[in-house]
Amino acid sequence: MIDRKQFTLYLFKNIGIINLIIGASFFIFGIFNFGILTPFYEAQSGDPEFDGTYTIIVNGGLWIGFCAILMLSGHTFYFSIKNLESIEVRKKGLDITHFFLIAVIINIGLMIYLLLLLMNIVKPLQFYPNVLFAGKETPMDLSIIFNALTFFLILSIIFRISEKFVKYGIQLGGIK
Amino acid sequence: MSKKKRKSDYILFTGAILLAITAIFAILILIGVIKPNIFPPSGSLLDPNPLSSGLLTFLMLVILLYVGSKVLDFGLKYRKEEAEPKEDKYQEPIK
Repeated sequence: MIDRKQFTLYLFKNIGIINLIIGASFFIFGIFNFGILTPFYEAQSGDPEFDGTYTIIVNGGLWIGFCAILMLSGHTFYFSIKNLESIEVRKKGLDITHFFLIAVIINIGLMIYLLLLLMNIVKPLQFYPNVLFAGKETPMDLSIIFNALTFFLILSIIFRISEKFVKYGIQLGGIK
Repeated sequence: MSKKKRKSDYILFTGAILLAITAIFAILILIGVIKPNIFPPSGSLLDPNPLSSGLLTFLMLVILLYVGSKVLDFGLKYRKEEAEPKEDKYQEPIK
């Protein structure tokens, strides 16, 4: 039978490293090829020059955000191994490995989704399809920045939940 | 298993389920299965209703996350108290 603790440690170590490597490599690729990145959202206010710059800024920010989520989750998983080694897994009552497994499942799902997003296989959700606040007074299509913000915030909630499962699992294991 | 331990297990499970529900809800929104439609779009050109719906949904998710983590905190505290029982504050004076 597989030792649950060893299995969890193995999962944490590998997921941590994979997330860190993927996040860092996409980040570096984005820095060197900023111009050729396919935009997630495109501004449509009517002014092509302004729209181009604005689209690059918003999508660049979103790209950095995705890479940051990947790297942060990798950091969380990889550096919690030390705390995980010191705790003991009880067989009676609530098993803390369930907490870690939920965190791992959420994180793998998030990682795959982010990978598909960064490779432009999946398109991010369009919350506001209409051009927002673009008129004579504000010649700016604000819909793409709100789309990007809402999308990023909801993604970060999923990351926070996986982080919380790891944190509470470790805390629970510390109680003798 | 003692009654108190079982109780703390239930509290911890409730917290974990709350967090899991938040995650599932967020995933369904991201996939596009659930569309935040709290304020139905009016159809006008500069309609800010979808924006309000999206941001409000995010805030609701944050509240769920907060409640879930508070329940987990309480469960942990409850279990800790059981592991290390508090000393009685009102000891009898030494005569």
